[in-house]
Amino acid sequence: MIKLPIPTIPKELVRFLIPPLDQLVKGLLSPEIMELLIKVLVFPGFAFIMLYAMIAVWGERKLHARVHLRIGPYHVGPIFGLFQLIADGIKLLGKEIITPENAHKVLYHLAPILIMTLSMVVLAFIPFFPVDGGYWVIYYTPYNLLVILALFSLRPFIMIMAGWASNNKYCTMGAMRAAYQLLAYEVPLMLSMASVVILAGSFDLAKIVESQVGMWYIAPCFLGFIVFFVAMMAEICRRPLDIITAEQEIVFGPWTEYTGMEYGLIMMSEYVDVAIASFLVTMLFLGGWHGPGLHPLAWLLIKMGVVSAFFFIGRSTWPRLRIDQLLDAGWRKLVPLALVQVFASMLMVYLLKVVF
Amino acid sequence: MPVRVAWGIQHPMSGHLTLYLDVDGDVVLNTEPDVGYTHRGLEKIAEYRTYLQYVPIIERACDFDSSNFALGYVRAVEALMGVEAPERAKYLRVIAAELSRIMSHLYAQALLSMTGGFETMTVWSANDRELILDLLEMLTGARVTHTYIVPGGVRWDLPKGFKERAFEVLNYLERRIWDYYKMLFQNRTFQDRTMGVGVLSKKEAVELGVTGPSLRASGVDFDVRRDDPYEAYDKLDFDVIVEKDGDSYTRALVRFYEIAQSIRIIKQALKDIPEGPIRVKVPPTLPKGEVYTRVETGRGELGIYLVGAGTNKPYRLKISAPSFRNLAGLVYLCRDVPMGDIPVIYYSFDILLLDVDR
Amino acid sequence: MSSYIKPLYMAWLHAFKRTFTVKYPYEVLKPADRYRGRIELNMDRCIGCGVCSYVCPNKAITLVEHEGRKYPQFDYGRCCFCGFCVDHCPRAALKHTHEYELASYNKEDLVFSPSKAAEPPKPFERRVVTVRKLDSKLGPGHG
Repeated sequence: MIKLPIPTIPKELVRFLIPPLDQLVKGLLSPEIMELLIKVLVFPGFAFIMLYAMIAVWGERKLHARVHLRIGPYHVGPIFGLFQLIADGIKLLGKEIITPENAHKVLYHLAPILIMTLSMVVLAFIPFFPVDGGYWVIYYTPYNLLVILALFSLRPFIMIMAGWASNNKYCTMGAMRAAYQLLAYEVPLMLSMASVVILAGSFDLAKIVESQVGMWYIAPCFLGFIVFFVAMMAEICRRPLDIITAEQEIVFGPWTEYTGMEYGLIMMSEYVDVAIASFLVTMLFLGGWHGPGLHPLAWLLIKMGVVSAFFFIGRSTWPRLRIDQLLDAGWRKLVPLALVQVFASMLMVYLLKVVF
Repeated sequence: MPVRVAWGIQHPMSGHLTLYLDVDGDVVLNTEPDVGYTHRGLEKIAEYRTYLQYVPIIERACDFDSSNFALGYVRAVEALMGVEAPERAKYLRVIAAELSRIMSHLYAQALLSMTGGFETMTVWSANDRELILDLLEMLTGARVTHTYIVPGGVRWDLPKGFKERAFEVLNYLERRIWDYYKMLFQNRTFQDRTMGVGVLSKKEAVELGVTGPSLRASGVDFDVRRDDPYEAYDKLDFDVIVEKDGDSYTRALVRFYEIAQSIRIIKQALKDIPEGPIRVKVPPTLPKGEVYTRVETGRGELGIYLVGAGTNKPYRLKISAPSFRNLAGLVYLCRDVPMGDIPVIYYSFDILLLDVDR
Repeated sequence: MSSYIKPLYMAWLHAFKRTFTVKYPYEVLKPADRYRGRIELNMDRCIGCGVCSYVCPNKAITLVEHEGRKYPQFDYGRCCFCGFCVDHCPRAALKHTHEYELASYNKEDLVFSPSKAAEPPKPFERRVVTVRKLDSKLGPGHG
């Protein structure tokens, strides 16, 4: 029997290490870190995204099917197919992740991870509802609207990266379309946001919602609401403005070659984008968390659900536009309307200051 | 620098046709079609089957419009033999042919709206096509490949309860197609996608040889049912739809109005149908000689050239298919267009590769 | 502007109508009386003349020996369900049934020997649906 030398920690080293370890554990259990963990894991973190994606997938497919006089998801889950996302997820986990020949391996596998991360990082800056002392937000800055806009402008680069790295002619065509469309629709987005910011007087989403106590901004800024809705639909690539992933012409745009769970990540990021868009529309134009009676979080979720339903029904109502008609609509029709709204906002602020 | 893209068979929206596109950026410079994926040699098979045995086979030359194709072949056989079908059989053949035409036009509309990503219209058209398929099942026994029209007449008479059910379905369909008009033809995005796309002038249409609704949408007033009438069409009252513009929107609109006209024809035929026998005896062998007949199918004009040799099998059969002629129009129009126009032009001509390849 | 709003109104209207789906395979549509399904052979009336085999366009019927007499054997890999054999049989020994679910896992199972072709059709045990009223405001549905 061989006697192995068991290493023993000398007693002095243990006594030297206990105070820093003790402080580490106490620090991990402190209230700030616990609050951060709840925010990241529960709301608006992973649990909320999974739950929203499940209900959104079920709701969208049911609504789309009912317009077609069909039934939609039926078999999986308690209320006729609620767990369809889980079934799809398990199926996608079982598929093989294929790398095409002559593709740039690092960029190809990095693109879906980046796009999912980018969609979820936007959720870190939105203040959701007021708690005593501040707001329920992961990281608070007084310029959070600007930060969200900057993060939105990073999206076309990731799509171009995915399209180029796939070594496929359809993917490069889709990447080119992504470059045109996403960069073109940021200008109406910024201008319609500017019309609300001028009225509210601050770039902070929390202050914008606080100043809608008397009247929601959809009333003075109705044109801005329409422009913002259409521009948001183009930025997150929903039908009828989803020319980037037009299945009938260029098979799936820059994301053609992805299989398995990478495809699942891309699909998931589309639903997270719808959530972000609904949050922004409710906070900028529909009064955010204000409402009689219920808790502010409940009002926020109800309004967000109604706006999401309008994003979903756009899929079954209008056919897709062609890329040059899309750019024409963006530059020649939406930008003048947004400019008119900006001038109207400036006029309203001047009248309010001078008259009252 | 132009890149050659295979807009090919392994593509969600190409059907069976491969188009090799030369693409520069987003503009297609020219195309080169590559047909032959579904070639089955139907013209050679005709030399080894008797003329009755060939009827199910010519129906498979075009699945979605099968009675009209069978009618063309059967008329050629009867013209060669000198046999004429009885009056009641002529009206029954018109009913089967017009129901088949409605089926084909609804399916063409479903596919055209699919190109714009508009799945709503696809599923609505397919839903209402189910009602017509149930009517055809009641009359002939099968939904898509009917095998109802044979040389000498038709195989079975009208079943009990067919007239009442047919009037119910046709009245419903007459009201329902105006829902399609509101949802599809008055939809701004669909109009943007198809108006002004693939314009074919009257002179170009006649020179290229396109037929059918595509020809009538360019302003040429020609329909085989009215100008060279066959079966009972000279006793029935219907309008020929002619439009002037010649773009993809007009071609879809001509097919839409033809559905309404077909419903009118079927209702008149059901009211006016005379009594009598439905099938006469035909001689067992084809005499020597040759004949050419033409009928109007849902896609255009079908010509059948039949040469008999004194035996019970034909010597030579040539099918001149409508989609083959419309393919020339497709190749002519797909030059210097944006890439998003290719599926729209392709499906507005209603080309089905099954009868290009036979 | 109305050409943008009218389709939206039509879409919301259709979201509240009856669905048109048949929940196959739990429910099934009833075929018409004349539906041309699998062929049933009446062994008492068959005389083994061979007219069905002569008239078949795809050569799907061959005559085989069975209990001392000749009977037809049907190959459903080749049959096109045209019904010429039923029409031309001089003793009316062949009849169409309403069975259409004939798929199998290998080709040999599709060749129906005379004793298998003589089996009577199985009755439908599943719920049969038909199209509901066509002129109701909620639209036709299957039920």
